[in-house]
Amino acid sequence: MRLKIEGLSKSYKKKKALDSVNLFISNGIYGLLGPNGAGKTTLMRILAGLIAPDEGRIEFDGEDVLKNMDKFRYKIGYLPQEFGCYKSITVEECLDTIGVLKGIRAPERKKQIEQVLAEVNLSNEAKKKVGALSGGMRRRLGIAQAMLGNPAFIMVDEPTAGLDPEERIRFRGFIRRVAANRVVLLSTHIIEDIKNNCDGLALINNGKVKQFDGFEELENMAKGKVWKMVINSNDFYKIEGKYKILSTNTNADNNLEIRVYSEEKPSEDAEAVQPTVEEGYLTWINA
Amino acid sequence: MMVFKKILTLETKLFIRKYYLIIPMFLSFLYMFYGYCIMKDRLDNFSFIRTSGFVMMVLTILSMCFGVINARQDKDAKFEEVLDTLPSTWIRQMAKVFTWSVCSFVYCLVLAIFCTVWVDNGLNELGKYALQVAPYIFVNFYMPMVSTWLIAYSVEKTFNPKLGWPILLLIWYVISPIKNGSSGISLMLNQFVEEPHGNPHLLHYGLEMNIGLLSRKLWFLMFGMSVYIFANLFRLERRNLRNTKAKIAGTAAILLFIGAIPLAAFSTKYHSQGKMRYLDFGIWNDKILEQAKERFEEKYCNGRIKLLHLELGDSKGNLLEYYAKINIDNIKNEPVIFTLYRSFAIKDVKINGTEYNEFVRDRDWIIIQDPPEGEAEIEINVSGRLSYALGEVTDRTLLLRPDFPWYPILGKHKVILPVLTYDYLTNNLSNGKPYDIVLKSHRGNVITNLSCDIGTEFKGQATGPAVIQGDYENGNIGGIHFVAPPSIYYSYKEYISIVPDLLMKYRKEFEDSVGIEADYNLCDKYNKVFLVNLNGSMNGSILVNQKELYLDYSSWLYPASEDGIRRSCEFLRPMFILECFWRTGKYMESSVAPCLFPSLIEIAETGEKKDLEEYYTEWWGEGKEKQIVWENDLNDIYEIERLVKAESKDEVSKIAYEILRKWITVNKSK
Repeated sequence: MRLKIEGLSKSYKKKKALDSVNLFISNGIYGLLGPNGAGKTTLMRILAGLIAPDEGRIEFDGEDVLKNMDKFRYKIGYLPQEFGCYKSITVEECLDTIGVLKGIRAPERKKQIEQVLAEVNLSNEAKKKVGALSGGMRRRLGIAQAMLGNPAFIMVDEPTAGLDPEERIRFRGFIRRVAANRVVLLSTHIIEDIKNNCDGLALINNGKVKQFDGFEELENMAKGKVWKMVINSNDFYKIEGKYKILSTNTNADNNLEIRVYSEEKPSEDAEAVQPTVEEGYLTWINA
Repeated sequence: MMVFKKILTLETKLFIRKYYLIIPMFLSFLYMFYGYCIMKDRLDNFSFIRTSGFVMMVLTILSMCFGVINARQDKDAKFEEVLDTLPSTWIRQMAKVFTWSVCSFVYCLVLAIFCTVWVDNGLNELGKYALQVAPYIFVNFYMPMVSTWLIAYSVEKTFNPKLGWPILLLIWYVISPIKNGSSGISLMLNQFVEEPHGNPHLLHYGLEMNIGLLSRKLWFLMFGMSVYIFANLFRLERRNLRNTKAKIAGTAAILLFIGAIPLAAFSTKYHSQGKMRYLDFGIWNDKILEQAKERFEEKYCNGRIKLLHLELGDSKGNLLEYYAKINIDNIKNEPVIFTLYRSFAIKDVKINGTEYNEFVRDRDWIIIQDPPEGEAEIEINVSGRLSYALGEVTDRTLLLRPDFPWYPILGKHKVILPVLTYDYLTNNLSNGKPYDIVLKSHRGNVITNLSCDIGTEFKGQATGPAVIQGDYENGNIGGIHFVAPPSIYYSYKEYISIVPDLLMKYRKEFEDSVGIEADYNLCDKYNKVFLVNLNGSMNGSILVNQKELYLDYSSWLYPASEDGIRRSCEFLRPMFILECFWRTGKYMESSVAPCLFPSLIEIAETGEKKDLEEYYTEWWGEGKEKQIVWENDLNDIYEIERLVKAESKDEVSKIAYEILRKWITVNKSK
């Protein structure tokens, strides 16, 4: 299964939310990384059929999505950034309604609801009212509803926001399992989620998208620009004012071991180091 | 279907959980129940529903609240974004409307059942009441409930509450009757009853339902539907508007909107029976008025009616059809003439079983040129319509008085009499001797002046038949046949015997004051008191026919008390005396007398000229003298001039009594 996006643009009044976006995604989990307001949600909403692009083309498995949106809707699982449901209905009722809207028939629907609830660890809460769920549980319910109906294309917008570390790990395992035969687009600004989950990634900023072949390519964006230095803790403010400090670590001598981003070698004793994904991301964003 | 059912179930569950809005809805049942139980003897059968316009207004507010909350709950729950990515968007929207339609339908159904049962205390005529109550509730309560929900939902979906809520408030104000406007536009916009308290002239009519009312609710419903579709289309992006379903929805919205326009225009006109009375003066064309002013020679009656057999047909609406069989004896070898108002057409005439086509229909008369001498049986099929000013014929009401020739009256009589100042009144044509009448009704139960029953077949003696139909109570109260709308009936039945006594006293007092004695056609006691709908009739709020008193019930709506009755009768006194002493069936060429008779009674009693002088001066203004129709009128005017010139109170009183005595059309034997 393949998702192909060509020349996708969307403007809100004078602001370009998406600027000729091109993406090619095949089976597996694909990360969409970008700062807040970069255009991630706009891209997601276009793919979910909620808004229309100004121009461009989207193909899923060779089929024109924009022309056949009604048909495509049956293939989508979508978790928006903010998900909720009527507080007075139960978790099961919520999933059942979505299952019906997705066209899943009765016996199969019940089976799938039980399955997804187990996957997101909400089986015990099935009879609870949505209003009684915690924020994390509600997020898991959102994930569960997106998985209903075995959609070929799943979009999840900030899926792990609000989940505790254990749930986050559980989610990663779950998403990995469901991604086997489908395309999963995971939009986030948490690099860890991308690093630990995704088979590929694209960065988005100011409506422009850059697709990377792998994490190495992104890391290499920062090659020769990340330096490790050991400084006296008193000099921290001096350095901070001059360079972008990426991380700090106190060593045994009570000195600070810092990683800084700089186009040039910041000092004589600075040592060039292998950049991380996060550092590659920062380099691209700031480029 | 699966989606529709699921959304319907889900929305119903959500509806049920809005107990804070459901409780006020159910409180309206309690309010109605309280009204019916506590006030059942004080209200007529439909009065409580009709006067529950404010319940209707509260229900539309609740419907708007439901609409706003329904729209908000999708937003607040942040569920909408997911639902919008799923298929069946339009089915979902349709199911939402359908859910509210079902919920409000259930409410209205329960209300209709309750009201029918409460109205029909004895459960004897459940069908009759249900047929009125159910359509009334569904048109007046149900349709606005759905429309206001649709509009509130659409506004809340489309606008920010800061803008949306004031818009909703404005919409509610515009459709409410609070504005009290009488223009066509405010009539069109009013989604409640025409008057929030109900029309006091329609007590006997039951629950009013007319095509104008229906079209007024329907255009608003169609408008609400189109707004709802447009609001949903507005949320769709441009690309999504191009899909087939959106195109169908858009087309439907446009068609609904366009379809609502003619209905809205149609509903700007009054269709209420109550209002139509005021507006229906179309019968007064110049020709009829000129003919009323023509000199007329009253023809003697050839023959004498032995039996009048009438069968009212089951015609609908304002069409009156009947079959009349008239047995006459003492026929001489001269034409037999009947007076029958001109708006009634004669379908065919048979004399002694043989078809007779040589009859002449001229204005208000049927002339049979060569009748058999002695006895004859004349059969006539009649069909026609009556103006409200002359009688009442509607789908479920009738008021056909014996003094007006809606039935063939033997003799050639003048029907409409001119009155000075361009007014007209009907002549009383039934002041002859009583004869046998058989009356059958195929229009349902009626009340007649032939017996104290309600039914479809009557036999009795009268000077002419009276037929009353509608929401009336009927009974014999101490020898008085009393008819009135239920609320008035129960309120007044204890006191009604006061009315004939009081009026008789007035009559005697007047006889004494003008120095005359009642002649043969004044009865000893009025034993029929009919509080009916005389509103709009030409003769005002009282009509007298032999022993029958016809009073307009709208003057008797306040709770009964002896003092109140005395006040009402006192108010009616001048017109009552005119009825007894002038409009007696005797043809008089005078247009001044019927105009000034009631005022002159007061002038005679008080010796004060009131505004007579001013009135008199005005007559002689430019072109005004043309109002004077008859030669006699001039003499009358000179008499009035004498009265105007009188100086002392005694002189005024004396002259006034002299004029009255002259005008009186009854035998002045004293």
